[in-house]
Amino acid sequence: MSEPLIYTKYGNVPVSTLEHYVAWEDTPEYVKFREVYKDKATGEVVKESAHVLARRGTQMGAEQSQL
Amino acid sequence: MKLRNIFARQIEAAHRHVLNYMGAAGMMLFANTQAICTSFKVEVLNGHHAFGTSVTRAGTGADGFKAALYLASATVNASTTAYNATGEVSGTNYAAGGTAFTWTAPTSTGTTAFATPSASISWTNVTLSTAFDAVLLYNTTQGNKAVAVYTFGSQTVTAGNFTLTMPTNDAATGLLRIA
Repeated sequence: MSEPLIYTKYGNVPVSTLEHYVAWEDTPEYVKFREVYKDKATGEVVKESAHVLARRGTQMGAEQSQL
Repeated sequence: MKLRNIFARQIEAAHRHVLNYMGAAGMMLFANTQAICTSFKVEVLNGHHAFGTSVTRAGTGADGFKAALYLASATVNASTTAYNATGEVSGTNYAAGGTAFTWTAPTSTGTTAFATPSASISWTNVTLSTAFDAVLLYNTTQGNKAVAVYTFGSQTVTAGNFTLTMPTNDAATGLLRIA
């Protein structure tokens, strides 16, 4: 069975040569999930993805003045 | 005595007449209420009202919109009037100007009109090595006029995907709301 590969900045490399990290960022405005692959030998980030979930958008208030 | 009773009955009748115009809380029930009409807020999002003389609309279809990413060192904010390549990210598989998206049909709940991009906005297999933290939504049909800026914390992407998932499209969380 062939070893699984994953696409990185250096092309397809064996997953076994990489370390996988995830991180979450939770704020009132958004939640962000980061996924990082680092080369085990060099520690270099060779693949990184991020996914942002916006909790809410922006509101503009319509105001009017009294005549 | 008889005259006093007549006056008392007239006062009582007048009092009942006034009470007819008051609700259970004792408040006067006026028929008119000052407000910016909710339908107007939706119609603004649909481009129905032109208050100035410089607006021309070529068609009745929805305008085209794009989302462009900006470096953390850029300056996009409320003062931004149109898309500008200055400060935009660049990198592998990122097309200058960003990516196209569509809005949900503007609608309203209560007195709030709202609209949200109809799907997540994403960039796949990109490499953006310089930190970025903002997206500018702008109107490509109307001279790239700016709509809104949203920030999400500094980020880089390497041979990966970047996705902006939209909030629930309602009066409380819709991406663009007019209250």
